[in-house]
Amino acid sequence: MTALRALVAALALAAWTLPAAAQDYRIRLDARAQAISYRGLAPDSIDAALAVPTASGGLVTPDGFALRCNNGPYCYYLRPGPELRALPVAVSASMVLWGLGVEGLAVRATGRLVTDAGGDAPWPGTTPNAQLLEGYVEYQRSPVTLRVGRQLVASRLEPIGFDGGWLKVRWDDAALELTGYGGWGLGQAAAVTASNPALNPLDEWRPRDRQILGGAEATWRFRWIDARAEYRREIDPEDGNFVSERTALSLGAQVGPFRASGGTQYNMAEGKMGTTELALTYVQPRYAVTVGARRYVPYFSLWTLWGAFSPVPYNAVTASAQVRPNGWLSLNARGESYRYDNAEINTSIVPRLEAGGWRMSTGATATVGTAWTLEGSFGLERGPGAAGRFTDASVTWAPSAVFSVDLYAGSLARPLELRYYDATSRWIGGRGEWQFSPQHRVWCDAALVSDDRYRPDASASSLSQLRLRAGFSVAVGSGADRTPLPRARPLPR
Amino acid sequence: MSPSLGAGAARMARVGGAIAPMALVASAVLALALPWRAAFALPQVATVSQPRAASPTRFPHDKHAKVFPVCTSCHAGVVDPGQSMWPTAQGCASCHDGTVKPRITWEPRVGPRAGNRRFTHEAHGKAAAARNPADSAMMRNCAGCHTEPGAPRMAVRNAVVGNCLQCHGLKAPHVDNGNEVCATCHVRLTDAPSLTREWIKTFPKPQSHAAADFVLGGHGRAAKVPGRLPGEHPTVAASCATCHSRNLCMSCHVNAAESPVILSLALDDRPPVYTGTQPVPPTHRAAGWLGFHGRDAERSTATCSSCHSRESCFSCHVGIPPRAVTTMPTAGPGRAPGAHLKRVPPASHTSDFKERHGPQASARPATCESCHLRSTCLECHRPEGSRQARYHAQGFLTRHPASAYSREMNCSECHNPAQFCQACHQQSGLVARRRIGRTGYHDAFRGFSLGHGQAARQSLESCASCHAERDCTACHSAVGGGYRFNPHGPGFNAATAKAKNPSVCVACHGRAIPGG
Repeated sequence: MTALRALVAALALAAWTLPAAAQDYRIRLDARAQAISYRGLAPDSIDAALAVPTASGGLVTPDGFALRCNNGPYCYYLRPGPELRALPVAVSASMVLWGLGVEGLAVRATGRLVTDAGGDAPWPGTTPNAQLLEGYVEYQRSPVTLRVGRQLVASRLEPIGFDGGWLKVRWDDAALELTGYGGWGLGQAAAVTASNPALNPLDEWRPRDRQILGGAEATWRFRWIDARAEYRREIDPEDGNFVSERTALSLGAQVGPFRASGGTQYNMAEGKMGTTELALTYVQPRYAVTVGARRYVPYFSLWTLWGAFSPVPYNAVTASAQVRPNGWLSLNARGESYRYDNAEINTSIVPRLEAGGWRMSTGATATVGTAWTLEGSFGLERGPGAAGRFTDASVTWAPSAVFSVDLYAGSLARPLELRYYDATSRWIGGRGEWQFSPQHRVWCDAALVSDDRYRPDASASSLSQLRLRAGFSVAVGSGADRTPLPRARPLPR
Repeated sequence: MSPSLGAGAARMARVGGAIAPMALVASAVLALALPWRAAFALPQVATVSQPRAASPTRFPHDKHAKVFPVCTSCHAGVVDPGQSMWPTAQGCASCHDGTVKPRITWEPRVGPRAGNRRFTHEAHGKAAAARNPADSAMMRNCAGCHTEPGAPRMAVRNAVVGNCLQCHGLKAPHVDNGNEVCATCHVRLTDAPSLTREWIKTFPKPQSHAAADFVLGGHGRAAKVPGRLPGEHPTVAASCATCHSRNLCMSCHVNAAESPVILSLALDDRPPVYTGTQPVPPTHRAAGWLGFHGRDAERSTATCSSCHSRESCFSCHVGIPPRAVTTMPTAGPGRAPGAHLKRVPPASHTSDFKERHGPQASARPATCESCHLRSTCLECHRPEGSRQARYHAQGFLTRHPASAYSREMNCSECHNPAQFCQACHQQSGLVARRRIGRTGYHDAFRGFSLGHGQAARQSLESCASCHAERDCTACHSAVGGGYRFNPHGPGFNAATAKAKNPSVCVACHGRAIPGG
């Protein structure tokens, strides 16, 4: 309801300001819909007495499903679930109003209406149906920028939404920016509060009240160095306990063809370092090479118990390269090797899992003439509990900047996590996009998707389907400041 | 001089090439016709006039070499400013009376001489006399300036420029003598109203204009003359002003209206404007130029605004404009349009940049804000159920388990795990609806639920995508029927956790939190 009230307030403000002199506006609408099917698993059980032993010593149901029996009266198993269909539809609207009689004053709002129009089960993310992503009044007058309303803060501490105020002061002579913000928080980057049932499908523990959020940032740019320090705190107003308290430091530097970026987090609420990373890139017009290292530390809010289970971080080294040997070909490759810290687990019941893994991918993009683009990629990854092998290919024909057609195909082979399963998915499809005027664009996408799950018991299944997606975009605005929709395709280098 | 002027000259040459045969044919017809006309005994009339003014016919000095022993008998004005520079019509008619010689028509020039020459015989004479009073021959020796070296006395023509240069000690070809030298003999083009567009187009092009760096920087260095007094604005070199007006500068320089050097030139639309391409400076081709052009722009905005308007910057800068941008001139009437820019991704935006942009975005947010609006981030960071693939590749939903399980990316940076993982997994039957071990999902290991610790600690976020916390506390809790299996690892900071949020401790320990 809060989101709805904010949306109504924004629209009321828009209506109120309509007669204002020199008012300008820009509105963009995006409508998307897709028809999709999926098949999950359905838990089932039988009387333990009905279990049938197999030659290998296991137990199966009379119709061949492998059983899990725990010396109780029942044995449990998972059978392939029914094929479920979904038809999610979303309409997003983005609006900017300015020229309201006060120089530097603008109203910005982004919201969406989303629903599942006829699916067998509600498509995730379709509740609530009306969602206000952002809606705030902004006042810009150098060196101050002020925003009041619903907004999203993106930073090294992950994006988070809140209803409140945000103030930035630029001190150009010192190349310094100071930012402060505070308000009532949302459920991380979701458009609803953490206490909203939509964020609690498993009926877990959730705070009853919205957390109070406050944060500050200082950004300093000096010649070739950017430095940013952040602090953020979330408080549960019910008992005054911390939901989170973290700081972060980010650094970016650029010296000639070298670029370095990195940063670290410190979780003050748990007294431990957070994710830390550093990457160094060497950029030349025809190639770029990046090497880096990172230490990934999982993070959970303090109103969950997950952090108490001591998730272990992993350390990784990464490398990637992109080469453009000529004007029409681009090659890229990347790889990463990672290893978890010691999980400090000692049990003989389950064999020890691998503690490290790797992943790599390589790809090529070829631009033939001005209209054709061919892309292909291949990747492998192997880690504790999961692995995968994927292949992608696409052909794009864009005879003009306003029209393009893609044909794509791909495959993925993967065993599921810690499950006796082997699954292969394949898909082939096409997509067309047409910007038939500077303000209107329409696109559609159709793909044949098959998903085969291999098991030696009756749980093996397959599902083939035709996935259809379509969308329509409209951008309207006033006067000369009206900007067309983004191009359908990135401009060639 | 601009390439377009050179091109104009070439066009003129081509036109001249077409005219020449026509002139030959016309001359032949005229030559055949003249005797026929003479047969009717009509008085022969020839036309003689001043050079370049109205008639292509020049006075045949060589035919009169024996008639006029001295030049000043006709051109008395050379030595006596009070007299005419040209002979009178009556003087010519004393011979060309139709009887002795054919009658001619002759009208002395009225008004100033066409062209852009500063030279007057009077001033030249005074200057020469002032420099060397004993050398009065400078004004008497007409052939010294008006004949080619070694030519007969009366083979005169307009002043031979080479003779001028030689006398003045200038060794370079005529138009290649730089800077103030031109002003010795020529006025500014804008002060020479008699010059026509066509005439200006025939101006020769100095060799300096063909230099590789002339358009980019070279012409500016040559054109800028420091002020003579402290604090005085620089001005444009006379050598430039001899052939060019401000219009030429304005055809490229967006900041022409703010440049004292350019403003020192007057406006005049007769000379051609620059129509060639604007070459890209070598600095712009350097690796990473997109990344550090802002620094250079801060240091010298005027340099940028030579070729770029604020609109050039807005081709990419969509957010709060940097200070340098706000000081750039705005395109519009009276200004050059500025170099047209095409928005291209910087070299750092490699194919995997969308997966790796997080550290850079957090380290250099201002850099991102230069080209990206907040809504661009929201396209991916506010995911919605039916969106088309953008951040993730096509079909990522199908392939996401491997990436999610191995934490290739931090899913929770963008997705709320409960809304985005649990809600979908719930519909797929992947959530644990009852106590651990009842469904047997993780059947790759017998007895997995009794030895899941390593998998859980290595990929706890994946556990949370299907399991509720109560699934874990069923065994790990110290209250409510839990089996008191301690889930805390050796690095668990219990004191800090309790200080920050004791309710988390209470959930499993009740009021009997270890350590008080």
